[in-house]
Amino acid sequence: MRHHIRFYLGQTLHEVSDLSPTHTVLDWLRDQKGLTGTKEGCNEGDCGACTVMVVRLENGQLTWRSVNACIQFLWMLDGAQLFTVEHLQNPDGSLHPVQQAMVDLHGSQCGFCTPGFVMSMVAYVQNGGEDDPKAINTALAGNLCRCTGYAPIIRAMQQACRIMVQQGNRFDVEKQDIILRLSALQDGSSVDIQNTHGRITLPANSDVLAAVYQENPKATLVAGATDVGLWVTKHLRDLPHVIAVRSAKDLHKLEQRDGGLWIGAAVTYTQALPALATHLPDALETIKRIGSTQVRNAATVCGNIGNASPIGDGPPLFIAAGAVLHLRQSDTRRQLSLENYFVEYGKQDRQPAEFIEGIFIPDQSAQTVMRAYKVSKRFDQDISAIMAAFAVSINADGEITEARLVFGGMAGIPCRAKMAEKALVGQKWDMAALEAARKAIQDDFTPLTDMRGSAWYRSTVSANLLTRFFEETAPQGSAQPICLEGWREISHA
Amino acid sequence: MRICSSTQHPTETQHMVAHILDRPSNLVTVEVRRMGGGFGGKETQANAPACLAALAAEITQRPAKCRLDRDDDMIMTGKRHDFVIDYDVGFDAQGHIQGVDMLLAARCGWSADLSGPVTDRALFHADNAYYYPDVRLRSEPFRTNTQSNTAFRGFGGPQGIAAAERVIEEIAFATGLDPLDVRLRNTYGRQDKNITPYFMTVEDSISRGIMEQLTEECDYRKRREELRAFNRSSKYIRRGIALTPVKFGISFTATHFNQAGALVHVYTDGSVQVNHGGTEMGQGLHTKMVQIAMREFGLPENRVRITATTTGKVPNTSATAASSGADLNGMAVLDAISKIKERLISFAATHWQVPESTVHFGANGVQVGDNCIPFVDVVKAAYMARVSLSSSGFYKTPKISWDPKTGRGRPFYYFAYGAACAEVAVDLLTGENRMERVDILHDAGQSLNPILDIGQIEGGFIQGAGWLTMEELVWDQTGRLRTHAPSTYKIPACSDRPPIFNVKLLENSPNQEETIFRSKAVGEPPFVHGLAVLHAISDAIASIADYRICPQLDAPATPEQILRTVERLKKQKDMPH
Repeated sequence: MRHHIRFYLGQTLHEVSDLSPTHTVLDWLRDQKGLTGTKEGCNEGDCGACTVMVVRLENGQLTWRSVNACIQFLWMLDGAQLFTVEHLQNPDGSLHPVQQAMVDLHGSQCGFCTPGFVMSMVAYVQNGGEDDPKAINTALAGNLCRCTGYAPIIRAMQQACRIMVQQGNRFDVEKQDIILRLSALQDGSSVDIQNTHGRITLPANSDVLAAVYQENPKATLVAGATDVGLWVTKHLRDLPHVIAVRSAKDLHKLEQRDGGLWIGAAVTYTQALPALATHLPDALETIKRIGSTQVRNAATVCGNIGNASPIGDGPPLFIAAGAVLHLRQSDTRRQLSLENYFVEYGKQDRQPAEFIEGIFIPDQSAQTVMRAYKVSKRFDQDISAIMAAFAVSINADGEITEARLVFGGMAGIPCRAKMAEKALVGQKWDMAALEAARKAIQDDFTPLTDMRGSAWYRSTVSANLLTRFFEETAPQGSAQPICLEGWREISHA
Repeated sequence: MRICSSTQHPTETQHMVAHILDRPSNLVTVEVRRMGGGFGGKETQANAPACLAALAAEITQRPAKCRLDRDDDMIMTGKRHDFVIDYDVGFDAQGHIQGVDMLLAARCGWSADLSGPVTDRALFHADNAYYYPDVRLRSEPFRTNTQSNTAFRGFGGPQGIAAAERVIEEIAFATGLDPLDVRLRNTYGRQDKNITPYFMTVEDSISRGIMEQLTEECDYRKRREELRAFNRSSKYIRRGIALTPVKFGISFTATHFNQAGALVHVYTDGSVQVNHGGTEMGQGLHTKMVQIAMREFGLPENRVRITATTTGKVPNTSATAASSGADLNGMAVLDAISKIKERLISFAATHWQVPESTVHFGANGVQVGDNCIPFVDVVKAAYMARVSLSSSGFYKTPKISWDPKTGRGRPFYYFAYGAACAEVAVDLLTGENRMERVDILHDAGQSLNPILDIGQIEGGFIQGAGWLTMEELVWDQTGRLRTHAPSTYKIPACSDRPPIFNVKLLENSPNQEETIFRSKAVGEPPFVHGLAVLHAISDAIASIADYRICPQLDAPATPEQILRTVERLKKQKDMPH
């Protein structure tokens, strides 16, 4: 058992024990290290001005991830190496190719967003990112700029991509050193820090986690902190005792097993994306629009379920896919159909000291057609007004045998449109069935009016999304994606 | 008391702090190194944090800092004024406007702040580029139980222009003409039809030429036909295109603000320090000021240094606002430099016994008769001869006048022009939309720095498009703002920029007026180009009713607003006309 966390900031090893459970990386950088290049823009992970790069050793490989320092807690850095905009220049004092490109192509006007953009861009090129407009859009969706209109930043990114391919940069040279350095930090030990600020527990595995949680059922479980972080920065909440999820090595499993995909509680959206894309092709474009690159680099798939938000984009998708949640309390384990986990707003079927070990998403049968649609005011990094995931199974006679029409944003929990489903089951997937489902869905929900959309909008669009689903999947439909160009590009077998 | 503030108006901040501390202004110095963006939001709104910090420092006798959390900031500070505009327009069958009557009502919030001048500027721009033979324009600034609205890039101008463009659109639908043709038929003339509603003569109307050039260059007419053909066979995705002009008046409408000061020092090592009253907020003002000194003294960039803006060096400044930063401060800097140069020329002529007319400042040094002497040597010699190497500079905009009582005068020194063409796609099932191509042709006069100016145009356009499409403020019943952070108030993100985005400066178009090197102001006018997007969306959804009914699409055209308009048009289509 260690009683401090340890990580590298740039090239310097830090061992820290005097920290609070809610101390953010951003505040630590700015207030304690005087590294003010990293900016506080929104303090909620939306603007990207605080973007930093975290390097970790995962399965012997280095990963370079951009994250929002404002909603990452300092203790989450245990075992990692952190780079900020202050650490980018080459040993000879020259700028990193990304920085140089931003200067050359006038990618900075007022400069406030610039360090955050630079860090997102550095992480992108470090991960072998190419000069591809769509990939660049995805990489930079979590960075807002009010001055430039993005055009010169994109030009800078393109130049940096080309130069990196030709010349590389200092991080390429340092890779072996970083691997050695980070390997030395992996001691397999749990961490427990108790001080006047509170208590921080980083269990090395899920058994430790279960035991500590059993003894401290009021502690707060924290996975990626992309939601819990806001409890602190926006709601000014105190967290007396936090228990980390992602420190438990065995919760990082992501694998195909027994007719489905297993996603452990510590697996982030970024890590899960390739597997999910294969497993649920239609999930790909939706998941790429959950949060931003920085958010998906930190946020876990299971955390998106665990926090039970009515507007999380993952749950509708996974409910439609028939996912099963694996829960554990001490040594007792149980399985629960994901849809049954959400009882009502603010209430889940989770006992004290019970935690999510992972989620199992069964393989989809060949008779099932599935689509997912996210509707938000802004295309990228916006909370859905409506999130819909539809799965219908159609037998050889063209009859619908099963329908799962799942919505987020329509009620206090992610939930199925049972009346609309009933209107479909036993019917042929034709215009009459569509009309019946469109009518029935108006009885399924009494949506709210809020800043993301009115009740009218939500009702109208929920029915219209059924039309879209029909057009894309029914024999009488157009069999083409019905969407704006570039919004969804999925090849359905 | 020394204040470091993120303000566009250091002098006003100085006055406010002096007032709250009950001290004379000479005991308060306000310094602005640079701002992390301004856009008008820091013209008055920075005063409160400065005063709070000053008060805390006064009471505690220690340094004090006040920095608002983003949510607090968005809840407390003002926004762009939103308007409800009523209009009546008379026109003939060819789409010529005969008369316009408009009432422009603005939500001002709980205090007057800048609402008076903002609603005035809305009136000044309710004609945009169009001649109204007969006109009545009225404004109604309303006090409301919401944030006190304030300046934001365009300062009421874009709202007035939005009204003018809606009028054009209504005429186009009523006459069956292409809105572009209605625009072209109504632009201000050069010889006649050139009097604005406020009795200023438009002396250099180039709107029509710019629109015609852009129409050609972006192939508007052919693309419009193609999009209509596409729409006939597309059930759920519709495309639209629109080409809109901007004519934007340059000068503070409060005439006395149109002045600026500068202070330039030449040191004996030949390096130069430039101080001026403008503030840097990312628009590149300091760069342009350095360029002026480089050009005038013939020096490389590393010999000219700009300082933080401070009321201690240049007093009684106007806000860096109204797009005027480079126009006003550039001329003041030039004035200061010219005075120093005059002294150096006079000294050199005497010292080296050549006629004054043979002394010139160039990149290789100072040409003195037949000799080229390094700048530093001239400066050193002048110092030894006790010649002052420092000077203040001053500028006031000529020709302008405005009488608010009669509503007559020449409030603007000149106009900046431009045009934008946007093509969009709209999803009729959800109202989601996307810009697919944008072309902009913009008039920056003889640009001081084309790269900076294009940066202003690209950024201004995206900001304007965001204002008109996604940036929605939502208040609840009690007047509380619900969209007070980037999570709920959505500004354009990277993928919202059009994949095809062509921005060009109008060539060979020096300012007719004697501005700094014949350039034109470029801060606010390009913001208005966002209107092309609103009208392109409107064009796309007009296809629902076979282009017979004006969609009357209101801004912000969020997906919900678009879907509502779509559903309304579907109903109207089936109603007898």
